[in-house]
Amino acid sequence: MNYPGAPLILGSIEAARPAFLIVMGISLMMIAWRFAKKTSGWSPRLMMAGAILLGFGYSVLLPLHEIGKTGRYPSLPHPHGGEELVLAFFVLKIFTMNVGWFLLGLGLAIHTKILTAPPLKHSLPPLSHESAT
Amino acid sequence: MNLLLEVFIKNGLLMDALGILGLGLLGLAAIQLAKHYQGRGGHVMAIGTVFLLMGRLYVILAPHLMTNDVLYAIGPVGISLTIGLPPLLLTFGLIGIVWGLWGHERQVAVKAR
Repeated sequence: MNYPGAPLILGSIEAARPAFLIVMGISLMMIAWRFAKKTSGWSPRLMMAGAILLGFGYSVLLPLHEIGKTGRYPSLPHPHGGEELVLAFFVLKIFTMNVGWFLLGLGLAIHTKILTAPPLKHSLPPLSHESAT
Repeated sequence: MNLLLEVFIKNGLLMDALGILGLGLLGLAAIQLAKHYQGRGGHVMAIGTVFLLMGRLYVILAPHLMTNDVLYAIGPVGISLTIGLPPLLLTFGLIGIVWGLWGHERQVAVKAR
């Protein structure tokens, strides 16, 4: 059984999920980069910020959390001691994952224009300046 | 304790709400992509987002919902499901989002060529 701090054999069942998370995080970052290269404005910036946060979270923080190197905040102490370290990992993890998903979702939502109202057709003449988004 | 840390730890609602909000926006955007481009990427991404949203909501709500009465009411099969389903939902949600984004990116690249 996998107790916290145990060494992992790469390719074993216990190592499959961290390896999967690493692969998914890196590919999410790369795909978002390729996607963002083709667009301009604020949506690729938000998307890339979110994707970098998520890539860091999924490929560094969550595997460490899965194999028990970071402790779990209320219950499990850190294997090398240090209450503050567990707390710092917890705060970093929830900040990275949640803000990452928020920024990625916001970027994609701005990209697909679901947040902007449809233009008024009859009452106003079309705006002359370029829209910022 | 530091006030900012207390906001993060005691009232985790702010961060959880940001994450859920972002996933919701991602789902809406995926549905819009699926409608607009008629490709498989948007659909896969929408399904993945729904899976990830369900898993995340369960993870957030479980400490409040899963009291002993509820666990007794749903029985052993239900308890097994609560243990087994959320990791599956999170895993397949992540696969769906990454795969859908990749498919959409490929579709846009092919169309632009």
